[in-house]
Order: sequence, then C-alpha cells, then structure tokens
Amino acid sequence: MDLIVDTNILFSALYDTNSNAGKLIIQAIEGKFNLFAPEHVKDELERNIMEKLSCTKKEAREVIAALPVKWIEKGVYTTAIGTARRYITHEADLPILACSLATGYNVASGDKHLLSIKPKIAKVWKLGRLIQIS
Amino acid sequence: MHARPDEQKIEGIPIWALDISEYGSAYKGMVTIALPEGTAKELKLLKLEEGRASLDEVIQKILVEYKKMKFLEASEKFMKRMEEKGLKLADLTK
Repeated sequence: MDLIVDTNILFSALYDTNSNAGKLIIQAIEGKFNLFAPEHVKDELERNIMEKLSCTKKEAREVIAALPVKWIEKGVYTTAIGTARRYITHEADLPILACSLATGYNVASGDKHLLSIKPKIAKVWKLGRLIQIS
Repeated sequence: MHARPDEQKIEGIPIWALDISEYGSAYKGMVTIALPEGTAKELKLLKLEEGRASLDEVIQKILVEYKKMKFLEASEKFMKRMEEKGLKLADLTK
C-alpha cells in the first residue's frame, strides 16, 4: 500500500521503535508499505533535528536517510494546495492532504485535523488501525 | 584456456549476437556484479543454509536487515540527543 506520512509519525518512530509508528517504519523496510512524504516534511525534520537537538546538517541528514520514505517534490503537490485548503484549515497539514489529492495515495496520521477528512476526499488511516490490519 | 569474450556463447548463440535486454525474461533488467571468491562462497552457503531460492533472495534479505539496523541506529542517536537535551516527543511535534 502506498501511504503518505507526516512529521509526527516519523518523529514518533525515531522516538520509540516499538510504537505503532516504529512498527510502520519496520514494515515499510520489509516492503509491506511504500511510504511517501512531501518535501516540506523532510525540511521540517531537518530543521527540528538541527535546531532542537543541536545536530549538524550531516547528522540530521544521516537520521533522515535511515527512514524508508520517498520524498515528493513540491512541484507535484503545489497545484493541489488550493483544493486542499477547501477541506482543511490547519495550515501545517495542507501539504499532506495536497500530496494525497495529487497522487491518490492514502494518508497515515494521528492528526485530528487530517483524520476528520471525509473518505471520499482522501482516505486517512489511523496508525493503530493500519498496524492491526497489516 | 578461456574463450575470448567475443567467442563466448549462450545456448549456442555467440555473445556478440545477443542483446541481453531482449534475450528472454531471465536476463531482462539484470546486471552482473563482481565479488571476491570468498564473499561469493559465503553468499552461496547462506543461500543453502537459509533455504532461499536464489542469491537475489539472500541479498534482498540482507538489504532489509541492513536497513532495519540503520533505522535502529538512527533512533538510538536521536534518543541519545533527546535525553541529553532533556526533551520529550511533544517538544518536537508541537
């Protein structure tokens, strides 16, 4: 299954590899899921790791490189941002929904704003449910 | 004595006459990698011990385990920094 993931899932997986987010990452490495994320998620991860954990750019990039995520270039989802704005008001989640609208991929998230989106707009999986059925 | 590369044959067809990418599905999308003899022997032994159908399967499994190791290492480094900084997950995700 092709899935779009957000920053929180990736941080949660690094924080606790036994959590549902950690299990998702392990299962993606095993080939059960193909994980994707917009480029802005990569930028956000890098910035947070450098600023809050005082890591160098090289160290931050090593951590990010260990995640089995394919990064979706801004050009792919920028045009869908306007449409995404019609369904979600939380600015930080716009690129995730825009990516889903542009690619047709499902989303995995624990975010209440994303989880409230109607399935006919975009299918958003709660992480626990996803791990349960995999 | 080995045949010169341009004299080698696959199923009786001179190798120079073969376009490997077009030569049957078994060769399509395949490349050759060179390994030291010892490494190749170890891979073949592992294939037998693990009951794998091909060396490709063995290498795929090794790659998966390597990627898992890299993820767990990255998580350890990440957690070490989090502890040093006295941060919780919520400090990063808010």
